[in-house]
Amino acid sequence: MTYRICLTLLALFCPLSNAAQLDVSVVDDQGSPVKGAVVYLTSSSPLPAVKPGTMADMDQVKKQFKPHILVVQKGTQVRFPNSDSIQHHVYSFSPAKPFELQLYKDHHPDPLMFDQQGQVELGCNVHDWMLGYIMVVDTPYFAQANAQGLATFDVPPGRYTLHLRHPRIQDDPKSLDLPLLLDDHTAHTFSLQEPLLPGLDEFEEQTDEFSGYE
Amino acid sequence: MSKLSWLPTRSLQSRMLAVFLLILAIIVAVTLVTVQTATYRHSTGQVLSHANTSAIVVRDKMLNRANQLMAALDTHSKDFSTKQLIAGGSQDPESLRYALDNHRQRMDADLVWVLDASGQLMASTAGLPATALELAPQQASQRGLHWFALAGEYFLVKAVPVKFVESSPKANAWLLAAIEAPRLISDELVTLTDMQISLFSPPPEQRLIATTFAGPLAERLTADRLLWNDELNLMNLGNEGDLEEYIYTIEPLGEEGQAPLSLLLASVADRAYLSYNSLLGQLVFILAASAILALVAAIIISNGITRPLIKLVNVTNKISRGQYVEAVPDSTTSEISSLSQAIGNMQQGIKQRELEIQQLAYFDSLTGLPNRNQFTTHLEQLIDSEQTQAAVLMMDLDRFKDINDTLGHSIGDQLLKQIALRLANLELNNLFPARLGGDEFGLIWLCHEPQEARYLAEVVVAIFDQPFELQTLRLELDASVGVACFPQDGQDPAGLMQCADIAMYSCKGHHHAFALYRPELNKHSMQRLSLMSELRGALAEGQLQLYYQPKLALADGRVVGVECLVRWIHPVHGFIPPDQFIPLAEQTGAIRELTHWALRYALKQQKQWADAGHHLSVAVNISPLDLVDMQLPRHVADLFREFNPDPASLTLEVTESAVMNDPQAAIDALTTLRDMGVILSIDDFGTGYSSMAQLKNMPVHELKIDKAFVLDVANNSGDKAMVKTLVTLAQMLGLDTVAEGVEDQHAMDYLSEIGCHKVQGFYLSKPLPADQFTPWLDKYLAVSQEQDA
Repeated sequence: MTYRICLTLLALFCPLSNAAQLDVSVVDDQGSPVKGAVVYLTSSSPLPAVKPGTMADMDQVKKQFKPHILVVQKGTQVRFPNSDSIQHHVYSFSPAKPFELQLYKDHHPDPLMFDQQGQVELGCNVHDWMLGYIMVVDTPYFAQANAQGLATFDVPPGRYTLHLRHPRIQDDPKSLDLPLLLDDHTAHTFSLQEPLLPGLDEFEEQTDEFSGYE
Repeated sequence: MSKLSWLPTRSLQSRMLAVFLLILAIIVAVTLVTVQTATYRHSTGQVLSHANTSAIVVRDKMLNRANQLMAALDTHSKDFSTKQLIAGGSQDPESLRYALDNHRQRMDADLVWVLDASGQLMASTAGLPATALELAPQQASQRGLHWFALAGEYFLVKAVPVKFVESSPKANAWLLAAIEAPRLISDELVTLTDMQISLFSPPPEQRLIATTFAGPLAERLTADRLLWNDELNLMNLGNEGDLEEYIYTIEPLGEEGQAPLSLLLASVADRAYLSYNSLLGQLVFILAASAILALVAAIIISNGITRPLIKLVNVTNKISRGQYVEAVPDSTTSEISSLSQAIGNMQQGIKQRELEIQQLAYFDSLTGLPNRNQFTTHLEQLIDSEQTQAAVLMMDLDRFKDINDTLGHSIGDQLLKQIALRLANLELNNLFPARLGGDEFGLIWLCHEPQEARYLAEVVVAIFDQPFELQTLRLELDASVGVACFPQDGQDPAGLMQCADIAMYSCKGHHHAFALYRPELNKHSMQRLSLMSELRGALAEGQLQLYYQPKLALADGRVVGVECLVRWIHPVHGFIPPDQFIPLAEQTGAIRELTHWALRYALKQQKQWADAGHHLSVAVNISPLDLVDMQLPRHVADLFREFNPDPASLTLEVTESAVMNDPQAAIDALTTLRDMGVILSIDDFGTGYSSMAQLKNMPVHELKIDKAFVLDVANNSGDKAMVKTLVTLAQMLGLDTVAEGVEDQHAMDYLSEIGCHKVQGFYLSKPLPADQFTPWLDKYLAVSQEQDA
């Protein structure tokens, strides 16, 4: 029922006839929506590159990365502001972008260029519980599932490959790469086969406990 | 007691001790077994519990080590620089390897290595076996003891995931560390557990991995020596003959689902059971001590019973030997006390009865004098006491039987009492008077000289000087006394008494008051004694016969009677002359029976003759002893009633001496007989020096002139004168005369001439037995009838 209402709403807000609309729904093996799941479309034909100087922010708020997952197009520069009053030591050993930043209060280092696609796992050397991801995708068409596990694209019609990624998903990535032809309004649901890895939800719930350390 | 007959000993004390010891032994054994079993079980439980605790300690210790390792790994895995090195491991493995080696040293591990997320080896410290890559790090990342065999060696392996970002759900790599199992077995464990610790590989290999046992012991510690159960077992790790016992238990060491190692915990058996052994030792000591105490108590108790018993036994033995005790030992034990009292009472009773029996056995109840038994015993003791000189006197009252018979036994008894009193009152030192039985008394006198025996005899005879006064009677009494001397006449009581007896009898025949024993007396006495003893039997057996010698009345030449003469035809000695056995019969008192027998026999024969038509008077000789009492008249009266003869056809011939001994009694008896119509004749008249005065008083009818005057009367003028005088005297006194010993016609003629009434003698006939007398009489009658015709 909910799903039908959503589609209706989407139809109402997408009157463009020269664009194709893609609605993606992501549910886990239990049928629960996977919030924050990253979906993006790639194409064999060239897609628009990122505009130079595009910036994104990965903040540290209350000793957490915010957002948890940041999706950027390849070539985007990411800033690491520190909204906390304490020091963070943000790092990454991911091959897509290994780096290390000493972040102090009111100290704003230069933004980092993420010019390789891939998942960059972020940690804080002084706060083990802090976990963040920067998903670098080589496409301008990406979205994240909302709390209902829904993500919507408005893309030019054409042949694409739909990808679903999320750090918690254990399913074979190949099964999550789906070629499809978009022309009008297409909907697709990912139903995961494998259980999700323990994730941020639980982690977020735990944050209050750690707030005492401030 | 019989219930305890299985006991080897019969002594009460031994039995009590034996039973006591038996019970004690059973108690001790049961206690020992019970306590030993319980203590052993307890000790075994203790040892097992200690082993279990030790196993827990060991496991805990190892677990600690594992956790330590894990913690160290964890710390290292979170180290930023480590992460950097691992993340850059593929580019710079050398740095990572050195870092790992550094970690190895810090963790005191033997091996450290890193696997990437796909399980590929990224880097390792030196010496990592290739098989290490086969183990799943996830398994080693759990808590617990995880053993892995790497190239045949057992290792404790721990693994931690390495996450570049700690909160990441995925491991980026694995950090692993291993410690060789033997290094986990340390002496510290021995100190902690007080046990030897050994590790064995899992079955089927069961190889000794590590042990705290020292060299040679460790070599002998092999799987096949062990029992693979979870109980306490014993093993000997000593050399041959050198016993070194260990108690051990085996526990699994490791996580479930994995082949765990076997942990062997061992302790020297002696040490393990040290408290048990010392407890047992103390128990044995306590039991031994209590056994000794109980034994002592048993001895004291049994002594308390047996000692008084032994005393009582001694006392009883004494009593049985006749030694009476003052007081029977008492006891505090009531049973023994009553036994003691009973023995006391028994002794009292025995004493009393013994006195009575002694009185009966050794004293004459009538006179109170010692009896023959005691007399003999005294004599024996005297001889045994080596007394040098003693006189033994035997005394027999004359005619006591007559007194008893005529005056009654009570008079006789009183008489005996008086005699006893007189004997007892004799003032002689060391005199031992006794009544030997009947009217026989005996005395023993300790004298110094053999000659003193005569003095004793005189003193004893002198007690008869005074008459005995009994109620209204005065009795003159005589006694025959014989004395024998020790040691001259005999060396034993029987011999001495026999000698004294012989002496006594010798004086009986001779009217001596006493006689001292002389050896020659014995010779007579032997034959005499034998005849004496045979005389009564001879009467019964018919050895004695009456022979009859006819008496002829000179007035008409008729045979008017016979004199009955006793003849003894002894089966061995043949004819025994009357003058031999008649005195004997008089001494023994058998003469009375003899007289009675002769009277009966004569009267019986007279009746037979009378029945055959021959009316003959019979003359029977009677002894002076027949006249001491009135028995003879009574007997004659009895015979008269039986045979009913003419009393005047019986003549009793008595000697002069019969009247002389006891004139009054004799006269009384004779008077009675005369009154009965019996003819009385004085035998052997003229030889007895009879008192004429007495003759006058004697109630006799006739005188028999002794044959000494008659035999030669025809030729001897002196005899003629004597015979004539006697006949004349008789005629004067109104008495008939009988001459005996007539041997020829001349004598008969002379006697007829002087007025003698009757004759008898060989001229007519010798004494003939009855069966010859009748033919003789028939023949005589025939001849005389012829002459008459």
